Amino acid sequence: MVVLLSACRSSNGAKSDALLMIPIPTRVTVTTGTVPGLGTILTDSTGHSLYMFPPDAGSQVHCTGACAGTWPPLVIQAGHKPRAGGQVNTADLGTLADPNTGADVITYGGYPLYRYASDLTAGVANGQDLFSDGGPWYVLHPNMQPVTVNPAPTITPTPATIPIAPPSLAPPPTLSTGSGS
Amino acid sequence: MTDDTADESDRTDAPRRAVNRRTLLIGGAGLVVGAGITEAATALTSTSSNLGPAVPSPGEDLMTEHGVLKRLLLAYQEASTQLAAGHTPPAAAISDAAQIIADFVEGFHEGLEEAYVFPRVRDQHATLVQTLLIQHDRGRHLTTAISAAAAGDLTKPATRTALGRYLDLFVRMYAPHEAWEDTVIFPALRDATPQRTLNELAERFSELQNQQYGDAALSQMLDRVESVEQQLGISDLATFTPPEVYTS
Repeated sequence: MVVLLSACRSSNGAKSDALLMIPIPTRVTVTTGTVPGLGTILTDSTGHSLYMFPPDAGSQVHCTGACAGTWPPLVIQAGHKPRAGGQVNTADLGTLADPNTGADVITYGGYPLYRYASDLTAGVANGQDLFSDGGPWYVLHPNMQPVTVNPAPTITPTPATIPIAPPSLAPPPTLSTGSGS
Repeated sequence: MTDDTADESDRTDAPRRAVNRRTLLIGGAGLVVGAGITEAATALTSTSSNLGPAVPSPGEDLMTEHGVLKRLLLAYQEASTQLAAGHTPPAAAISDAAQIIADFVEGFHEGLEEAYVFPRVRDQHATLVQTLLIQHDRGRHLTTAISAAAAGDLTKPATRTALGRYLDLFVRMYAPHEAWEDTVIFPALRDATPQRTLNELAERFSELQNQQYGDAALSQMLDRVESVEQQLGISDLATFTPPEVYTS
């Protein structure tokens, strides 16, 4: 169950969550991009990796509440259809009612799509194969299969192998409203 | 999306939630270290909420959760110290601590920050918010590494060295991480957010915590933290008190 304590009505009459500051555009394009070690995967139109969550199998949205902060759903205003780019098959795109925002969450092969809050630049997938909020998170190949490999070196009991790269201070992803994601 | 308008019907059970929230905050057995933090947080971020003084502000709520993290950082620090001294700390304590951190801190607490706090202060503190987000990610990966190492053979020098290194990296990152959030981000949230929205955020945080963990969430977490502390021999706050200092 999801809390919608503070809600308002959008122009189409659907309830939206005024507290959860996720923009709800009317135009969203799901396309493909390349991430080193992962190959061609689904991204949004700004090149940010898109993830699936296996517990969502059966066209459900299990990532609600605080989870939606770490894994913001890729949403579109209800009544609008997402567009396909790159190697994305239009027929595999769909939408589900999003219990977080009151809008629709975009699906691919029935799986709701999410971004990862800590992917601050395009072309990275820091959340790949991360166990979080009760399950693993995977990027998606355009053939609808989750990519389950971990691009980072396996962390072995050797201190030098742990990735401690300096923080990237690139600007955060801009989630535009009304002109695609 | 930033409209502060709320359905009044959604707030009819606010008193019940307020009682639950107060129970959570004052009912946590073993809340020793965190008590001072909570008092400081109240002084810093308390609001004149029309829901009554029993409802903690979002900043106070998040700082209380930081108190839980601080105690787990002390546990990590102790485990690392024991490793460095050639002892073998109880692996279960480290695994339990990592599990609490993964679930309550990295899953729930940081999710709240990422959903409700960072978007409201990003304009004023863009670089800091980016660093905090990167550290959230590093922390999640470090926790995975700590869990894996703690499940390994702690008689092997390489495993011990790696585990100690991961624990030290985690503590080194999160101590300043939460200090910056407490002193910069949460005050900025208060400054940037209308009182009505702060009240709604307080209610939201309370409701989400009750949904995810039940009414006794904080108390349950503190019981688990205390168990970790007992396994490591640091459950008595008095053990942290230095000998009396004499000046010549």
